[in-house]
Amino acid sequence: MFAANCKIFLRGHRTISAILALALLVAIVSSMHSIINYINERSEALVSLVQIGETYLLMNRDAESIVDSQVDADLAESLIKFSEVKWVFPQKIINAYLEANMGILAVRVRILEDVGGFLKFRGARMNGAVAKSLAEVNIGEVLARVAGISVNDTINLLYKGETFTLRVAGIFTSQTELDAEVIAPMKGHLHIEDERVSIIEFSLKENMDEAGVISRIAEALPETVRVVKVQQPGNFIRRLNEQTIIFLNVWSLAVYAVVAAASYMISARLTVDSSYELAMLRALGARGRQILTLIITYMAIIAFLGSILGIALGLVGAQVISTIFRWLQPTVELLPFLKIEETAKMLALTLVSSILGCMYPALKASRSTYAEQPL
Amino acid sequence: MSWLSRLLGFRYFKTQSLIILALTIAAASFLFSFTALGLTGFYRGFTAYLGEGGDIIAVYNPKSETPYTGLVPAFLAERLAGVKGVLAVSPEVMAPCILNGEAVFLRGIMPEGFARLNVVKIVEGEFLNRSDINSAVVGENIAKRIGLKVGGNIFLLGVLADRYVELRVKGIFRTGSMLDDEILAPLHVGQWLRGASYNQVTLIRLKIDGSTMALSEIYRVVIAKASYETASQEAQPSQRQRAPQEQPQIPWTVMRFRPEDVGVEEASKYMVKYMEKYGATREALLTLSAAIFLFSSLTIIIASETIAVQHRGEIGVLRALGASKRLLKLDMLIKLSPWILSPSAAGMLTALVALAVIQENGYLQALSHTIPIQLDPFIVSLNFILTFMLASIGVLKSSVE
Repeated sequence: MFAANCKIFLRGHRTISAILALALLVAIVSSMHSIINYINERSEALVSLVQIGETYLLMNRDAESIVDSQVDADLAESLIKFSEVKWVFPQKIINAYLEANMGILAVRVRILEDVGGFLKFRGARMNGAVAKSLAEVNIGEVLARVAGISVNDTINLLYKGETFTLRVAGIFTSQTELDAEVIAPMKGHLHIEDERVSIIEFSLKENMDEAGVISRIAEALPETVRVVKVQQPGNFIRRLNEQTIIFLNVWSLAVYAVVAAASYMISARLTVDSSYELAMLRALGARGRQILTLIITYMAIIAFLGSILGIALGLVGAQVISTIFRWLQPTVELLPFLKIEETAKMLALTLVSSILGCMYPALKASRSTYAEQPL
Repeated sequence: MSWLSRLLGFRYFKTQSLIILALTIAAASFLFSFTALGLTGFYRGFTAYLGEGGDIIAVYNPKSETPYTGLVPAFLAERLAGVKGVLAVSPEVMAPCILNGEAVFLRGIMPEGFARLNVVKIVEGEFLNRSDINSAVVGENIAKRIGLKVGGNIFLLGVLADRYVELRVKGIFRTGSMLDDEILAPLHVGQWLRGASYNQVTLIRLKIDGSTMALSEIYRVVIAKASYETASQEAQPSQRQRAPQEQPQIPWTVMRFRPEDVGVEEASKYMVKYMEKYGATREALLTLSAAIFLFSSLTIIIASETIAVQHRGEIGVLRALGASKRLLKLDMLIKLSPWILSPSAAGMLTALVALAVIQENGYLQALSHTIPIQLDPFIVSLNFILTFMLASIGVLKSSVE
């Protein structure tokens, strides 16, 4: 019945231009989404080319800083039980002050049992010896140069109101953050009796099912600790892609606002152009609600056809332009594509904005009697 | 009295119809302005934030795929500081990282050299100095977005290297450029997080005295260093040193490099080059915006036609009284002009406000940098021209019977 009634509106030129108007608008969204999809997919694929390290940190779930983090030192034993784990280094990290020739410097002190093993793990080169006794420390090259410290010098570390005099057994360079730190072998000397450590740094053996192993490790740990992967290129790229998608979504809203405006114009024109037919329907007994439904159905059909055509136009258009672009600039590879869920979203949003846009003219037409309709 | 002047006095357009036309034009204009201002802001922001004008030069690796990933020998900074006409030198290392789950860029710098090239205003706390080894200053935008405070710690995870670092926030700065979305830290911190050695930097920026030296002179010096320096030789400060050059924490070693691995370019052109590499020229972005506007053109044409259709009765009477089609169309165009141009301006202003609101809430970002929004006279003109052109086509195309 509706389909039959809708036919009275389907005047060739007007309907085609209405479908085209909506299709062109949807094509804008479709083409932009298809291009951004490709760029995002490529950037995520590029991440696989980055050599990703296998270092992880075990730290307190709520801690935002490694100095504030506190985890049970016994967890290191739990980690060692996993055969896939290669290295485990529980560390206490504190902020202290170093008396230097240039004044007092705020420094970070990293206290751990196996200083030599840890520095080897970090690929450090040592000038001097690894600190072994309670009164020895190793110092990173950056800190040593800034503070003017040499091997075998004696330094004063100020921590919690006490001064500790320690001998610099060696100065190392590792090209990591350790180069600006003091590494001390034992906690006893600094009067740290706490059984908790700040972080536990560990790494996995090569060619392991990383996700599976980490999942098993996480399950075995208490809820108060979290496992943090140190190198996160995938997360970084995903965050950057999200920024583009947020902009694209906000921008798409502007397009849908134009779709609503276009739908208003199309339905307003429809009610004027079809005033005779609408008056006839009213004279034949059609109720206002039926007129309203008729106009909305017509607009929904137009919006549906327009969005299907628009999505296709946008995608094909983007692909044609990309091909031409590739001919002109062979180094640029661009293969736009759309995801099914995006297509469904575009279709739904076009329908919703079109129906919203046509509401006022449709309501106005449904409320007027046939006597008011200009013939 | 001519027909046109008599017609102009006859107001037959219904206000409601005109408002709808205005809204449609405003929506299309909003779409164009939103796209054009956003895209050109992105372009302008990235091309300008390393420095505008011919006196800021970048020494970089031309083989790098992005402006953030190349590496050049750091010792060139020291050598270039000794060249007559070089006023300031700033070796810098860009390191992408993760901070509180967010993607951020950390820039390893040498504080004095950097401050000579950029006007850095400290909003809170202090700027970096030579003795800072575990501190950083954060841009105003990033501090606001992530909630960073002076005296607090930031825990950064590496992206290009398997490294992490915790730094103390020493200050919050403002430059009024896209740098306000970055973290500035000592050079060695950038090198750790970038996975570079102490002898490599991402780029070296120079400020030159344009009246005494040219770009080619810098390039000549770079080529000379590539040809004559020998490896494992400690870089010595030049006797002819002009620009004061602060010494790095770890002295730079002279490295062998191929001349084709080092490029010299004006800083703004350096960024333009990278943007163009991915097809993002200013012209391309404006064409894209105009294409989007033209895609919504049918809506404006339909809106203009609808006006004529909605006033069929009045136009019919005027035709019966002897008004020609041409005259009526001209009259419609004149009467509709304010209803075309004002909504066009309103659409543009609304886009500007919308972008500002989105920017303020931290959603207007590209590569973790806030996109600056600025009204461009060219975009303003293009908006009016395109709107008027399309609406005119609609009116002229409408059937006036």
